[in-house]
Amino acid sequence: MTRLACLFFGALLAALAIGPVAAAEPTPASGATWAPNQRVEYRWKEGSEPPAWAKSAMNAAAADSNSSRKARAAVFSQRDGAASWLAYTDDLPTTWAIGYAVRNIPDSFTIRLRPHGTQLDWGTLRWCEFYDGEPPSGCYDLEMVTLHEFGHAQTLGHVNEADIDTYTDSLMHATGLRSKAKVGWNQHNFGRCDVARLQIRYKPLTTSTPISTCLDLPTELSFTPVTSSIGYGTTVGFTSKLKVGTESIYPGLASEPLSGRSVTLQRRAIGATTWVTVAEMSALTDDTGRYVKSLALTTTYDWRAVFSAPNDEGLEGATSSASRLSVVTGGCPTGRELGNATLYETC
Amino acid sequence: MKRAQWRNHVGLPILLMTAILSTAVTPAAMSAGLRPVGPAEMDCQTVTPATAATSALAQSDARRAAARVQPQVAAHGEITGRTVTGRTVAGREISIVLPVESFVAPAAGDLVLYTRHSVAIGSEVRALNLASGCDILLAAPAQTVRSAILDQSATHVYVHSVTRGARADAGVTRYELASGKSSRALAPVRPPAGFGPIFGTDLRWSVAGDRLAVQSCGFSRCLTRVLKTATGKVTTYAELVQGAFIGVTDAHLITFGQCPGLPCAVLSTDLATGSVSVLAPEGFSAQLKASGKGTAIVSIETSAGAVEVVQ
Repeated sequence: MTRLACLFFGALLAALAIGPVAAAEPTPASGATWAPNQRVEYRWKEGSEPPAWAKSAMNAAAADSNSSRKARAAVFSQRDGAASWLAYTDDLPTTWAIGYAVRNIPDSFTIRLRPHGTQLDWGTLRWCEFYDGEPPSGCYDLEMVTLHEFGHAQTLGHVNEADIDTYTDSLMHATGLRSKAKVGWNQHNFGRCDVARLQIRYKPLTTSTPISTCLDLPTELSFTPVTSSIGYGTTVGFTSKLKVGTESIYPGLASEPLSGRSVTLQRRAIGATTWVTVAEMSALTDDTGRYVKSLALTTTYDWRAVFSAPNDEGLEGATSSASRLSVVTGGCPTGRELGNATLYETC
Repeated sequence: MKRAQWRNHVGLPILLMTAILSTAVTPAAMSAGLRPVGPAEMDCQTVTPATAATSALAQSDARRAAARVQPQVAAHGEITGRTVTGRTVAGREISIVLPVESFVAPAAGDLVLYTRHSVAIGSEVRALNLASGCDILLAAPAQTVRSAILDQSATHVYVHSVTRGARADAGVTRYELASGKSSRALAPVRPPAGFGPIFGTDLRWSVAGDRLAVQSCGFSRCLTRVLKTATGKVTTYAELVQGAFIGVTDAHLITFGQCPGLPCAVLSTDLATGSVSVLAPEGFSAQLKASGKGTAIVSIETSAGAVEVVQ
């Protein structure tokens, strides 16, 4: 008994010591935004053209930005003669920055990256991609640092380290990017809290793009049977519409349709309290956030749609209001009347 | 062959050879403290550090414009040093090759102040006179020199260094040019927790020239120590929002916010109270200039046009 009590109080003390886990916050951002999916091309700055290995890393970073933005943020690509530019130079406005971005949205941006071998107060800047073979510890991954600068070009600022759970939640660190071989040294994608801010500022890439888990958005689920009263065995269509809640603290995301999720159809017998899942509703691919299901009904039920909060998205669950669908006449339908795609209710 | 291995085996000897060769052919590398550029120029042997520094007070905009600093980047993209070029009054071309661990201050009057450090020669603070071509040793710090600045009377040079090996901040040392005496002006910086390693340090004078601002920056965040040279009093400003240095007046420290680039807020920190105010929420550039009326003006370029704020 004493041992059990010790275990109980030990567990209680441990729980108190840990306390509540603070939720991660989206990376800060500021200033004007690019147009949705604006294609922004860059050239190599004349007189400061990067060596081949650096060009490869910088172009890879642009591709990383495009593939990991998960929002309608700018799309970067290299083209000679473009208005924006990337430079490999020690001509930076500060003595300490190893990369430097200037935004002139909606027209252009510039990114400067210091050359390999630059002496800083703490030591020598070495880019990992400079080396033909295995790069030495302590080098910085140019692709990762350039992606960080592309993040600034996308309007992201620096993250408050206290606002993220793990280092890789963001690529936009203010306290320094990591060199090889610390965790995150070669991260080639925006972190979930960077994506969260891009989704807030630019909207998700499509209505079916997963919402960053760095967000916690309310959802709303509407539910509309086509009628409230049907004949026995009649096939009826149910339609549900899922969207980000209108009460979202991010107005740009409020009412944004959510397609491609899992929405289930439930029914409850008249007078009962328990809801039973009947079927998964089919997501339409028209970007309206609609889900449909057709059923041949023989019994009166209350019906509703349910969206359960997914583990891999920053969305809260939602349940629609209930609708009663009365079946007014008796008799069983024929198999031909039901069709192949409908659910046959027990007669 | 891996490039790192190649350097380990043959790189150091080649670097040393390069340093020796550059010593032989460039004015900056001649043996003693006083370095004549050529026989046609004035006798640099008669120039002392104190007299050399006074060339910073000369007015010669044309020559100043002729001084250029170019980085030397090898074909594979490694920076190997920088070159300072200029032209003397007599029209003679000046070219100084500096190692990668070097600093060149903007020209002041006829003078270009620069620092260099290499394993072969150690650390030096030097003054290149663009009028005469004389290249004079002003100081030889024991630590690894990072940058230097002359005071406005050109009687002292303030030198920032990092320790050899560990490259920790070694503070700022003041050298009196007439006597060669040195003294510590600022202790090594002690950044707050979470600041990270120091990436760069800037030395700047206040508009009136009586305060030396030393800004130490980590990856993105900065702190500034302001030294009142007459009293030796040092005040540290380490607000979380502080970014790149713009200037300092008798009453205000002007900086950008803690931004990753531009545009960025332009901030004014009250030197007496430490309170911070925003001069412009989004500036693309900012300069601090004396107004001629005992005040200073911050000129800020914004997307909506130029803004001027008296400080």
